[in-house]
Amino acid sequence: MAEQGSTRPNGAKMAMRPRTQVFLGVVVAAVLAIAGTVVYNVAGSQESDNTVTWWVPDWDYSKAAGLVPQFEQQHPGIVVNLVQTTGDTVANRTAVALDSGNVPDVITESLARVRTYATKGQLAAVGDLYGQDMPVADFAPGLVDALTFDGQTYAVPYRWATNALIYNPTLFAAAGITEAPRTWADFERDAKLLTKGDVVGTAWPMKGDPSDLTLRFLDFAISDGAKIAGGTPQLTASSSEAAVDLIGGSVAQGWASRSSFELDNTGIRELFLQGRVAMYPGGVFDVDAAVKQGAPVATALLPGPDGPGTAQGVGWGYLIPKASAHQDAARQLVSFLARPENMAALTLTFPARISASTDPKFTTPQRQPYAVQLAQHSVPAPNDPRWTSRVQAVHDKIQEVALGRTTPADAAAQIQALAG
Amino acid sequence: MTTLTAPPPVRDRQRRARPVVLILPAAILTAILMVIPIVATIVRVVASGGTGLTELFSLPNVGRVFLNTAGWTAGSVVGAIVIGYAGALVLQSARLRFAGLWRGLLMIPWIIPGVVGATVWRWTLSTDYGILNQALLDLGLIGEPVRWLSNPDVVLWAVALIQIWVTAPFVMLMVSAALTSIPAERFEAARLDGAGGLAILRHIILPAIRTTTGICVLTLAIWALNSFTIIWVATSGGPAGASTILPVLLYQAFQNGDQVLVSSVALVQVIIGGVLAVLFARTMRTDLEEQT
Repeated sequence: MAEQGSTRPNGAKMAMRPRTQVFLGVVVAAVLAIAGTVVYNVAGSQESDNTVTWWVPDWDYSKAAGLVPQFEQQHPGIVVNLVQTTGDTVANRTAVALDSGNVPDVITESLARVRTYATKGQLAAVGDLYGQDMPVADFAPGLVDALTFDGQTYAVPYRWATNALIYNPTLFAAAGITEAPRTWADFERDAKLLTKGDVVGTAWPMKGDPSDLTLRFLDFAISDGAKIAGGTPQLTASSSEAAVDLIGGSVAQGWASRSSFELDNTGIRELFLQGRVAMYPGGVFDVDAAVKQGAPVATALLPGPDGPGTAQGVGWGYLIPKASAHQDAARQLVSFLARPENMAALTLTFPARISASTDPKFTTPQRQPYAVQLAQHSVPAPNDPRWTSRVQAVHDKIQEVALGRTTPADAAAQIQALAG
Repeated sequence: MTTLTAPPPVRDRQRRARPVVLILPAAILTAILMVIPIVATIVRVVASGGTGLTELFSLPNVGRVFLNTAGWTAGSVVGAIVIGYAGALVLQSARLRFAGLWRGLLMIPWIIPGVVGATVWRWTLSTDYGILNQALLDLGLIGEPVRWLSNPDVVLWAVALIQIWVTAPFVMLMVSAALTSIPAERFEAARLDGAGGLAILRHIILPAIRTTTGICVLTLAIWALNSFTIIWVATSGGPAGASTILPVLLYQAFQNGDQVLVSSVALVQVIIGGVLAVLFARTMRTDLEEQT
């Protein structure tokens, strides 16, 4: 066999096997292909100066894909590049992009995080987009104010919702309960009546995103006198104790599911659909899922200490990073998306603009209590980064009460210290 | 007597330099990928004036996090070693039929993605749906469902069980390979001398695969220290922080945008991991020396 390759120390030639040659050839080809793809994409992105990259969450993606051709038709010369995100990952992804400066042009993000980004100087002000075509007065009360810091508005909200009480009317009827609870006392009494066998009165999302639990905690605390000022919760010892007792105490006493520690929002919804959780504070998504499955479902206002409780409005909006290279095109896209008809098309809960609420999909019987809750018994959720950074600790304090390791009063005192 | 040494010929120097040149690209790449993040982490901690470390050690649950990390690491390493050894010894048995098939099946937990395994176990251990509780109830072994993932006294060991399930096949594989290197004559001689199974294990097998054991322990410890997916999927670190270990704490800080705390936790992990890495390298060197 003929020798080939380099010379060995003893003078012999180092042979390369054919199989090795093929392998090396494949590796080199793969590297060249990857490099070529990168160069092509980089060159391509530099060529289209008017390509707007829009990060869209998965639940909006198909509707967004339908709206983009309309926008591109109305704005010749602007191309929209849709990039799909997910509700679980968008926060980290956005934070990393904004920190690094390698940003898209428009991001659909939770309004609760706008202040965090704005205080770091990472967002472009979009206040000039509001005006005759998009009046501030057409948005839910206080919503635009909650996104305005130091005189500048940093987001255009498009979707807005609160929790309300979701309950199973069949289980209620079987327990002899004729109407949904209006007060906390009703809620506790009914839950105890409903807890029997495999069925529990209620459940709380104690696993997963800690803000799911603290959202409910704050709803109850605000219903009992706590305030939100400047995006920061102003808790009182008594309101914190009452809220912690309602959540943690219910698990400790057994009229809320003891497996709440293992449940996130989806887990609770699944148990509700199976008839194993009788009622819970939840979003309108869950109602839609129950209606779709033909499960028994009804809704009511969130119970409060003496009557309807207050719920926090949470929602999503459009942000334009300050580092975006296509500010004008991004603004045109956001203005287009904020039109009432487009807002209604993209909204699965409730639209942020009142004029978009006339769409029939927002006026079903099950959605009626949500509309009332939103309009009459809601406040914008806190968006102060200091509160966000304490959410995990507050979440753990509530769990301590649920485990019976501490009293609601002690937990409330610790939460007061954390929030202070 | 004085001897004069002639300078090495050019060809010799080139020959000696060749391995260095060949390894240089990989070494530079590794240095970039490893050194830069570590240095950036240290710089961030130092630049914050140590506030991140102060914050870390001022956290009300920091003691529990370190204890959890130690317990989780020790439990999952010991469990994986014991089960991995047992599996390897069973697979080595001459009486076992279809050993290849069993070996393949037992490797599945190690092959599948961690998030899939964790999700399967999350459902298996669920209080509401879990088949483990249902099976134990059906067998009459328990009177009411065990709250594997919601009882703070149990949860850490429950998630360690998942880690053991995932990593024991690795130990089994390593030990199986090591067992094949023990000459059969030793076993025959021991049996002729009247040694039983336990004596053979203690006096022949364990000493012979000591280095492999060391490598397995250190590898498992490093994996456990850096493990995140299993706990996050199964419990998110709860209830009330009962299954929060350092990587989970780091992720929670990341979610809060607390980059200084993230860097501080990462630095602590780097230090612990660095100590283990040194031990690992020494063990590997011993192994190589034994082999040569």
